[in-house]
Amino acid sequence: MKKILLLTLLLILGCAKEIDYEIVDFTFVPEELVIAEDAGLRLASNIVHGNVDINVKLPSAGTYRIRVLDITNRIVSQEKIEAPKGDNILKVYVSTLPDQSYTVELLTNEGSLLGKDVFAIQQ
Amino acid sequence: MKKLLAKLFLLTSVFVYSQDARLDFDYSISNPTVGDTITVNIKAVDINSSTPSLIQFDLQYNNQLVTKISNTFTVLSNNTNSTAQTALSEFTGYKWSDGNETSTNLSALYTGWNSNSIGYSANNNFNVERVTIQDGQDIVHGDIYQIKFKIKDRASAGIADYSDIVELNWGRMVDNSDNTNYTVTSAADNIDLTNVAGVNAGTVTINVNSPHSNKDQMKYDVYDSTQLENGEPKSGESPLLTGTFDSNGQFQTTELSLDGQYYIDITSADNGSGWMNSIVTVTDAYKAFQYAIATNINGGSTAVFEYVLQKMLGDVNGDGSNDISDSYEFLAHINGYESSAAIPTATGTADYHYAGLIANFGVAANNYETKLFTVTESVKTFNFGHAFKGDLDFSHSTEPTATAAKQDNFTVSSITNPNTGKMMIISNSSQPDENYVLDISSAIVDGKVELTVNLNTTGLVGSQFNIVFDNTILAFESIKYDTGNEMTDFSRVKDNKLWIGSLDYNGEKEIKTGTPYIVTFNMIQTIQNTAGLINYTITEGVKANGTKVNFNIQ
Repeated sequence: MKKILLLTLLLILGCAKEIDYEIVDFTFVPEELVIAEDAGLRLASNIVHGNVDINVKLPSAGTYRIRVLDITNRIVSQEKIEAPKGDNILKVYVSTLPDQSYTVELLTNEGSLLGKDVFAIQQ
Repeated sequence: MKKLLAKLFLLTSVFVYSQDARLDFDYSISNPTVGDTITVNIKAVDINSSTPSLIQFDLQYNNQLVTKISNTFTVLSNNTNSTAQTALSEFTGYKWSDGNETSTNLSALYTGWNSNSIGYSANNNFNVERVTIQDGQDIVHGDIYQIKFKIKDRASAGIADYSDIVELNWGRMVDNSDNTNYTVTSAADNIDLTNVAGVNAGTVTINVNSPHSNKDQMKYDVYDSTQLENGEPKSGESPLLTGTFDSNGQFQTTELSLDGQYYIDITSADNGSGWMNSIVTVTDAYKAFQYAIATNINGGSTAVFEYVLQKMLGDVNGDGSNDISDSYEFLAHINGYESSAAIPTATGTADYHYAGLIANFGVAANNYETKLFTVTESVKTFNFGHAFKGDLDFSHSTEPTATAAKQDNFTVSSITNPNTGKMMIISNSSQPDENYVLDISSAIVDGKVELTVNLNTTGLVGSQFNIVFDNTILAFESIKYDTGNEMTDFSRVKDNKLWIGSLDYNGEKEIKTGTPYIVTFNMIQTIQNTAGLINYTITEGVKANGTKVNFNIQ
């Protein structure tokens, strides 16, 4: 009896339509970092101490720049990242910056602005 | 008939040759100052054998200019009239008018009172004192009444001067024994004070014409000229005023006095922000080297600074000359070393300030700085220049404007580098800053963090990058230079700071374009990205002719 049931199961599975599975990278995005648009930048908090989570949502995989600018619009720090399309949860580190307010910008490698936000360092 | 003639003679004597006397002020005050006490004595002066037993007069004072402190009948102390009867009546809010009568003819004013416009009218600025002294015997000539006043600040009352602070309105002297009315005059019936110090000047404005954006970190200390010794504040003196300028480089005060002479010290504070580290940079170091290498063993130089003040600013080791030892102090500074030289730093407290009235700022004949200023009715705004030691390119200092502050023999293209034969230019105003595009960024590369500097513009003989990194996450590993085979590069790491740069002080070699600097850090912690981990506090270059180049980071 067991053999009959096993053969029946193999028969059913063998006749079933083949299913293709696609493995998709999934980045958990906390609610405070969700970006509705296709691309942009969002900080988890606009008052920062030490570092802050940042979502860098990219329209396509590639090289991008994250800049930190001071009140005079002078670039005080700049990073180049290679990242995939979609949400990328990263960090902005502020420990070495003087206690001021700064703008953080996301740009393409060629300099087109994709998003920006302003944060203040908690003293 | 003889008796009649005798009586007529006596009568004539009374009316034509009556005895005269004076009521005079007797006071003295030197260097009168607001708040001082002025003591006024009224004295009876005999002119022609007068023998009054009644003396009476009105005295008025301007209650806006002086405040009465006290009064004394000094006649009671003359050892003769100690039992004289005295009376003082005070009236507030009245002012006397002499009409057409001579103001010093006191008895005529008395007799003419209420005629010919002589008399009183209401005036809140004046008080009147009526003094009466009578005795059963002759009143001895001399001091009869004393009144003390305190000098008030006329500025608060809006009065232009201290004229007529006290005035004798009228006066009379009578010999009650025979009802003889003496003719009474006064040598001067009023008291005027001049050059009264301490009169509030109202709003006085002080500006410091600094070109930087940290003017609110500039400090002032103002001293009264009486606090000075050998042209400087005496040891231990506390400033009259102290504080910081506002963000426009200005402060205003209502604490100073008209015609007061004051001394101002203008200094600065860093308050931990590090802005004073940015004052002396690679451009200043290059100018210092350029000047020094044109100096021969006897101290003569073929180099000429544009301003005489620059020789003072460039002598950072204070040995009285601008030589190669100063230049190496500059180099040490841009490489992150705090030397003993008077170069401004975030923590330094050395004497590195020059400040003076802009009209004389940088003029050798005025010792480069005139710190004394006098507030007058017509001059209540003062503009000061300020310079930091070492700031040869005046990036944070006031460029002198006085003609005498310029070097007579300065020309932009007349200086030759003795080592290279090339023209040296170490001027300032004739060399406006230039801006170069620079790409500087960090990235994670093969498990390390790399800071890459990309330069695509030629012409730089020097560069300076002051960098701060988060040393709780990154550890410095190495620097890879690709500035050219003959370029002199420098670097230093201390704690979380990194100084890197290059300088050919002869001005012959240029920094190679491409990627002249790659700095590699190891990760102490695992990180996904580097945003904000590495910050740039100074990014600057200098061209062979001394032009400062600001890097516009892209």
